[in-house]
Amino acid sequence: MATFSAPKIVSSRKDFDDSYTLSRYLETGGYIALKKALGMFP
Amino acid sequence: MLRKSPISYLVVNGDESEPATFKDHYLIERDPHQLIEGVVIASYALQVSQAFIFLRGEFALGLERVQQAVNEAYAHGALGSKIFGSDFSLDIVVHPGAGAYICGEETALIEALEGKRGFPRIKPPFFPAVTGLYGEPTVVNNVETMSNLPWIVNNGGAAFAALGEGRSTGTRLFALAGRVKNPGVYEVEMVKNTFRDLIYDQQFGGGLIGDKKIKAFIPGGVSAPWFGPDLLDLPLGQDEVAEKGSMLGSGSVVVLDEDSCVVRATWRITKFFSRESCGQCTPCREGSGWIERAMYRIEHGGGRLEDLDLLLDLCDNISPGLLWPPQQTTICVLGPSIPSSVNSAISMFRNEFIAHIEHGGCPHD
Repeated sequence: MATFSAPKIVSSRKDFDDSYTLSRYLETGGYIALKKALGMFP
Repeated sequence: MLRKSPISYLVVNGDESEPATFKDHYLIERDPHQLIEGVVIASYALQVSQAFIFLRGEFALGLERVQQAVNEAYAHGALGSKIFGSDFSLDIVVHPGAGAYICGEETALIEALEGKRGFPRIKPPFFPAVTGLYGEPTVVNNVETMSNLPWIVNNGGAAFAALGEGRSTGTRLFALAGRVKNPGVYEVEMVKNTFRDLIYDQQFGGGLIGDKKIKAFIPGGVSAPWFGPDLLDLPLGQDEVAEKGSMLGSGSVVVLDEDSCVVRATWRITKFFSRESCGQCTPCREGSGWIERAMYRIEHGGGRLEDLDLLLDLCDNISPGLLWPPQQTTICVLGPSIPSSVNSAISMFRNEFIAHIEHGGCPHD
């Protein structure tokens, strides 16, 4: 039953002590989705 | 009633205040930029230019980090005028709550945002999308939902929907609390894992402290009816849990071991609800106080056998029939949240209540 291999969607930065900083967020793919979304039709 | 105009505001409900519930707390403190990116994406989809993040006032560090992240996002071009050079502009206001659990109810939250006392609004209209903040159509969503959006945009909705099953797709954060070795926040794929996995697997709860037996667990926060160990193998899915008479609710799973006092646990839960009742509705305002006082005397040595029927009668006045899904005699769902633990505890552990009454207080002391 158990499947522990699912992607971490909201907790992917759990192991970083500085996960709350902008620099860590950018280093781990932060704000790429927003740029992609802004290219879509709302 | 139909929506009268396009959505005007996006409001994020970060007023997570229920005992043992701390999954949004984790996201707010540990990944505020993820939350902000989700808010901007949702705002773009809705074409709103003003969003609010309403955070529980006691989240001092979370408030500091989210406000700092908002400031950094403005400086980075991810917020404000013409975001990343596009034609889309958005402002976010971070609004601290003032310590009332009831403001987690979305219409009370909107009242508080408007500067008024946090009273839930009378329904209908049922949804803020019809009449919300300042009387305008408003989308209210929670922190975890917003935090999912960057991943979904990057990976596609189909990839998200491929996780889980049925109506329970994707992953969900669970705040695991109580008598487990490793309490904490865990992200779990919906339906594909069970309560037993969450409580016992070494990646998650790691089992009970002292390897004791489990007596009961609350599957979805203290508003939810309790389950016994016979339901440990139930999948972590909305429909699966609802079919057994409870809910995943606030995402908190609370574990009671064989030595936990269910009367004390129930008293503490009812004390919380009694304290947090906003007082608008008589069944909740008066009933929660009566229930708390009856629970107090059973736990502390003044209980009477007739208190058990009295407790169930009081619960029935708040939530007629004590059914699931619950009926309610109150404006909001705080009312029917109160009977859940009382009815569960008396139904599952009536003998422990009688033992308290006959012993003249808690036998665990």
